[in-house]
Amino acid sequence: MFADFTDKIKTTEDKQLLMDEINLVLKSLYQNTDMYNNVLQSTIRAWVRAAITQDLEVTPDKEKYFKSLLTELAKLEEFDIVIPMDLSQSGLERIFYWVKDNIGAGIVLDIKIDSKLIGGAIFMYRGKYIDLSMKKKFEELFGSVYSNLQPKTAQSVPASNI
Amino acid sequence: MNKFEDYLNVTKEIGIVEKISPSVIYVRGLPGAKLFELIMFESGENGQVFSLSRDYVEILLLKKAEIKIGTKVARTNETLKIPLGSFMLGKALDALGTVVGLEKGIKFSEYRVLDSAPPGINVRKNIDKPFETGVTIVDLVTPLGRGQRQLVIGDRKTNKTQFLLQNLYTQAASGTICIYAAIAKRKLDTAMIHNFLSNEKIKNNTILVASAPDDVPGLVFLTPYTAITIAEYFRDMGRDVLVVLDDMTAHAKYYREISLLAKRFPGRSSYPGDIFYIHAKIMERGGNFLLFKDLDISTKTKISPDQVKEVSITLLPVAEMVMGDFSGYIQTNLMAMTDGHIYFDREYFNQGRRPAINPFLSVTRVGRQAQTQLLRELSRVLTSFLVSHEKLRQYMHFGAELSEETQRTLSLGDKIQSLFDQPSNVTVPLNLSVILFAALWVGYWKEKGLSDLKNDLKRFSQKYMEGGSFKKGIDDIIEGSSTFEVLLDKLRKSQMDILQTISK
Repeated sequence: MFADFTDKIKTTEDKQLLMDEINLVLKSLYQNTDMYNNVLQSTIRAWVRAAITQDLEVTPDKEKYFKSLLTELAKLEEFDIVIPMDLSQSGLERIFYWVKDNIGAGIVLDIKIDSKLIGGAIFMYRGKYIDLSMKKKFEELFGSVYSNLQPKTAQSVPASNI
Repeated sequence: MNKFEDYLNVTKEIGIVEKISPSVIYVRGLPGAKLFELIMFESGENGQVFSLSRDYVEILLLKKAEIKIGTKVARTNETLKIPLGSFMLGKALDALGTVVGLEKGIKFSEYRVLDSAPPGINVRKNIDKPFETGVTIVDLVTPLGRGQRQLVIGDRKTNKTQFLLQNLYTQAASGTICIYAAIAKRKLDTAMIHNFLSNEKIKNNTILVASAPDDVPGLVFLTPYTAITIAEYFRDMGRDVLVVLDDMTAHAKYYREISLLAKRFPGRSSYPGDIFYIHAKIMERGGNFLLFKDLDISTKTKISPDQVKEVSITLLPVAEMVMGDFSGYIQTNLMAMTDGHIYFDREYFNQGRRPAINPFLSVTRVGRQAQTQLLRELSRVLTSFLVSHEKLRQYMHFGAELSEETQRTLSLGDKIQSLFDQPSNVTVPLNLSVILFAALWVGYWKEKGLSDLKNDLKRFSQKYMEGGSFKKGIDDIIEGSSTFEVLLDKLRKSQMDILQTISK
């Protein structure tokens, strides 16, 4: 029923913004009728307004509708991604649709920026953690190289090898 | 790469702190977390998985830490273990087994899990060896055996700790490993105990495990487990161990706090329903055991693995009462799961008796089977006399005229009471207690008053403690007496000699 909304939100910021808008509309229901119309017309985004208007033709009970929508939005699981730099809109959409195709619907991306990763990304979902960052790769590489670069002392070289 | 990230990469699981209470942290995530697994927070602090629910992993904090909501958490895939080795002897430890002031480069023999299952019946043996406390009234009236779990119960400030330290001194001086677990004790009291245990004579056989009242509840909760785990290590090394758990009522209170904060359903007096199980599991780890693999530490040679050795962990848990109320929940629980109790009576304490042990309300369920026939008969005679003496004392309140026989009984009872009066810094060897009572019973100081008697008893004890031929003579008399009557007979015959010796 709420596919119009869940399909359009991709990140936790989108989800939070939409939930704020729905909460505003819900509150206005308990004030006078004009307030509800004012909020609907002037405060929320056009696509949200269009989706609400369309759904309310089928479900006349406004309070029940908005509360159900909020419950549905709260159920959306978060897929955490840590990346070294900000994504473009197309990049964001590519990742979102990849996640949706591979894990399923009902997910939003929680994107955090950490330049120390250098490249790659860290993924966290339902308690699972995968670090595919360049930082980790370099640390593993240098960890093995460093021990070879250590200067050899007299004790470490057997006398027979000199 | 820091340790937290190491664990993240190895376990590939992460959790986020969602709710915080003073002792328990609620974490969402960590799908593979196991019960009692060690957890590391992003800031480096550790915790232990306390409980698993559908939505959260409940973690018990082990150190004071400022944990914020949103903090990341990693599993370590390890259970909480403490390092063990002979380096612990003479040292003070916290509940995580960290030694205060430990030098670097110390070798740990092994690591052990804190919460292990008690040994089964196939490795246990009947208690058949006596446990000398060094306190006359206990050794003669409510004797203990090695491997017994004897509750020490009484109101606060009735000298229970002094009694325990007397026990500790007697046992440590004879080679038993003694572990004192100070559970949520004030730092001043712990420092006093630590000073006592630092005595040169007993230092190398004692260990102090301590937690303070302001420590996190998780740490206080683990204190008796640490003490018992250390005891099991030394038991497996072939040594007898004494463990003092002071006190289990405080332990129950801290566990109640943790359980209520973790939203467990409260039972009687708001204690959690599994409090009996928690305490019983600790108590069952004490006892008399058969060690099938033997290691003799003193000679550092391995004895044949076929040899079976008897080793014991004697437990002295302490319970605090309120106004002499025997019917308290934790107190009755502990009385049910132990092999007897020694009751410190507030009335006796107020009358000036030290130790303030009430022999009529104290019980020993397995101590008598460890006694020799001589001691069993002595104990029977003494107990029976004490009962009749107590009845006569109550009869005196009516103000009736007393016969000579009654007066003699009352006088003897007072003299025996002065024998039981023992300063808290003095321990009395068992043989000395036996001979003094037997001498009193036979009538050595029949005509003497109480103050003269006390002087003579003091001289007798000093003469005995000097060692030498007097001590040897007394010990030989006791060794050579199979029954109480034989001992009394020998004492009658050597009365003049003994009295002359002590008056020199």
